Amino acid sequence: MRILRTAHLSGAGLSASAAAEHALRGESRPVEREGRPFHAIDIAADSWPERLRILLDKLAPLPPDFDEVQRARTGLYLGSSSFFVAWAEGPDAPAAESRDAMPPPALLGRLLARRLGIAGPVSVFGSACVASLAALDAACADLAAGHVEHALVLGLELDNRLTREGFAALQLLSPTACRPLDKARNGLVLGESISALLMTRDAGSGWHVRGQGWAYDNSGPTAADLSGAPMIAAIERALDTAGLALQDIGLVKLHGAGSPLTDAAEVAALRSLFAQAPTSFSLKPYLGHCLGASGTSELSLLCACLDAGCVPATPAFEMPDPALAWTPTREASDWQGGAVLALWFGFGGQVAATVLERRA
Amino acid sequence: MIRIHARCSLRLDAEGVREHLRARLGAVPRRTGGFAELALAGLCELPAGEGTCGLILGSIGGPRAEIGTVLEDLHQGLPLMPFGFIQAQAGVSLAAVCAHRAGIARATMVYAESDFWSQAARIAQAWFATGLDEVVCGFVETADAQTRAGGGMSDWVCWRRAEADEGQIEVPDFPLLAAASTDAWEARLAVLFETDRQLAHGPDAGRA
Repeated sequence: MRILRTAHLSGAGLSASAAAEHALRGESRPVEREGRPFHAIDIAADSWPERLRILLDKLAPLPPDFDEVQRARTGLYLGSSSFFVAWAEGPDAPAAESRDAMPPPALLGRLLARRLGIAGPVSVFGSACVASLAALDAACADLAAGHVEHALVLGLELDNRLTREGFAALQLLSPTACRPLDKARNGLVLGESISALLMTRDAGSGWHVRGQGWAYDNSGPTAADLSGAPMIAAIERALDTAGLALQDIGLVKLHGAGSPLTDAAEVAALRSLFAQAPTSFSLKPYLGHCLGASGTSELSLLCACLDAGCVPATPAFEMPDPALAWTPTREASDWQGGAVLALWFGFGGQVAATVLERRA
Repeated sequence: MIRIHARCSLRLDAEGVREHLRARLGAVPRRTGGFAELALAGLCELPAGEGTCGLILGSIGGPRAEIGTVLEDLHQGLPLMPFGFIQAQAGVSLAAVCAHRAGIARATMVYAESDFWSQAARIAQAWFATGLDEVVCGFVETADAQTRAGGGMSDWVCWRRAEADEGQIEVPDFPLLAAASTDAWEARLAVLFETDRQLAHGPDAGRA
């Protein structure tokens, strides 16, 4: 399935190309939020619904000439892990006595579709950190089956206290920086993003999602199988659906969250599959971990970096971890082409791999 | 044809869920939260799995009572407890549910309204095309959080591929509850979405 258009707002930039410019210069620009680094979108408003509306208008995920007929045959596929939570925390929150009656998350999908003039089916995924990838997977399936002509995959994760304090309570956050694969890595840095991929079925030029593979890690809500077996299974399934082999992969976009456990599980999988380590890098030092929007934010930034002809560095990687023995990019370099493998872990055990290819 | 191999439909209040889990599993799994407990109560009514399995968990409100609890803690300035946060994450509830089914190869959490079962059937159909042997799917809705009236629902099916596979899938005919307060929320949010304000930039950006 072809990515017809990407749209991107994150702490790295207010468009995919602006974010790519920062990434290719190796600039990581978190702000401080309650004593920890956080990658914030530099747009504020007086309330959450206002901010969401402003962000959505700024995002402009559909082409200006996208007409009513096209919008009627377009589905919206939304992935998030927080939905209305930021609103419920703010001054417009429901009264305390009804605070446990949150708006249904699917309503957010319907309102966003209405705002965008999308009249096709609306699907809403709350699958933690892989939510927008689950949305992408469903979008590709609906496109393949002919249920829709276009699919807008939207990842939405906006700052909220519940998420920040929840991850802090689980002691998963770094107090300093996101250092993927570094010996001194000490946890995640969170980020916010609203980002989108407009997908179509045609075989035209540009980026194509060739395959996706999924697996499940039953180690527990916050644990990871350090053998890498679930990630190996996801990669093998992704290659199988793409009709490609390991030797076709020229570049790996790591999950690379800077977490002691998932970094180790990811490298274990890569070491067991690849006889020779491919070029690999992480985008989380630029974006933060955007949770449910990780899929769309990282894929849109990845495409923009490679469209500029460059593979970004992995900033803050300074000290290789002998236990991992895997070195991501230290400097930006020219992209040599070939299929790209992108990897993801989801809170709660979901593991995903995506194979991308750019066609001339 | 992908057929419904097994199905179950439970209506239980919170204590009924716990009794049910004690009877089926010997104990109530610890610290999973009411939403995951209700999901698990229905799932364990299905026959044991065969081969690789996909799991789709659907809901209108998800773990809304658990979310309400942690939001209330935040409003009162109380520290967030790790398990309180985990229970409020619908995607993480999957872990508690999947732990009780063998052969899980993938899982997802879907928030739906009235079209859940047709949507779930489309997802399951696509998953079967990737080689899964079965897909289990549940629609789970806890009791109305405001009134505490009525029981929770936990409706589940297990789809398996029939020998003559023609690519069609049998869609279950479970009734689906509409979220009672959707219209009110929709009206309120639609008004807020239309509010027009200027963009703001600066050091406090993001603190809406």
